[in-house]
Amino acid sequence: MSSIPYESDALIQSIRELDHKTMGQLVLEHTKILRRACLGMGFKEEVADDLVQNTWVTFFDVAKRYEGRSKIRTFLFGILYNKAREIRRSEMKHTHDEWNEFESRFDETGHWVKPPAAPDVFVERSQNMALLSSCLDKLPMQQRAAFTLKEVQELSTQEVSEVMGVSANNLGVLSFRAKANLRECLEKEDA
Amino acid sequence: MLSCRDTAKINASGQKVPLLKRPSMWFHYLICKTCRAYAYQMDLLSKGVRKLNIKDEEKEKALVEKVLKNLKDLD
Repeated sequence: MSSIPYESDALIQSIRELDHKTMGQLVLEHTKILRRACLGMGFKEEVADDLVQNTWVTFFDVAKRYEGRSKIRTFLFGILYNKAREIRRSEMKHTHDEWNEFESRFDETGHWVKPPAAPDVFVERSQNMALLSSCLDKLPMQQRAAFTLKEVQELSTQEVSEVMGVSANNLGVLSFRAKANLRECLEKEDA
Repeated sequence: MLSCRDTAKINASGQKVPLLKRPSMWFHYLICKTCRAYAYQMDLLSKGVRKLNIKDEEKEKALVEKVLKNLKDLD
């Protein structure tokens, strides 16, 4: 199944030959979304720019071996994600998972014991960009990446799974935890 | 029948609800105001976060040029 190329033979060939016209076109098409994804994952502008440039350097480096087993976009995001993970690991960013808070909202039969905040309070907070940003910063790297790639960059479930190297089920868990944590954080923080 | 916890989890995972579970999800939302509120909040959350998609045409253009220069330097 994975042996079916996602991209056309002609495109694969020109990528492997590092054809400048094709490569230039790919750079024009994908650089912006790669940068936006970096910023969405919480990197500062300078770091995001370096990350994107390094992603392309790696891509130019491995392009000769590109077989078209995944879409170019997925392939590029895969490189970017691995580089982002390396940086995050070295930063040892402090994050916390508010998973227990979600679980504590339900009793043992699965019914609400602590219902969500009143809708009008939440409407206001979910539109407060500074607050949203600070809550996003508190998410663990994997959850933030899953959430950003899927919800903000609107990559498909299959693409995000491939990029992050996780199964669709695991991705569902990551997305769920990211959203539940964000919601808990927004409800708790003072607007 | 699905519990509130199950419904909240399915909603937030963003995955397609399996066909067999759909009727019980709908029914659950029909009778549970709190789960409807929770689903509404999750939706608001996604919409709010989408606004954080920072687009800076100037800086993006500059970055594209840098990458294209790197590409040229490959020769």
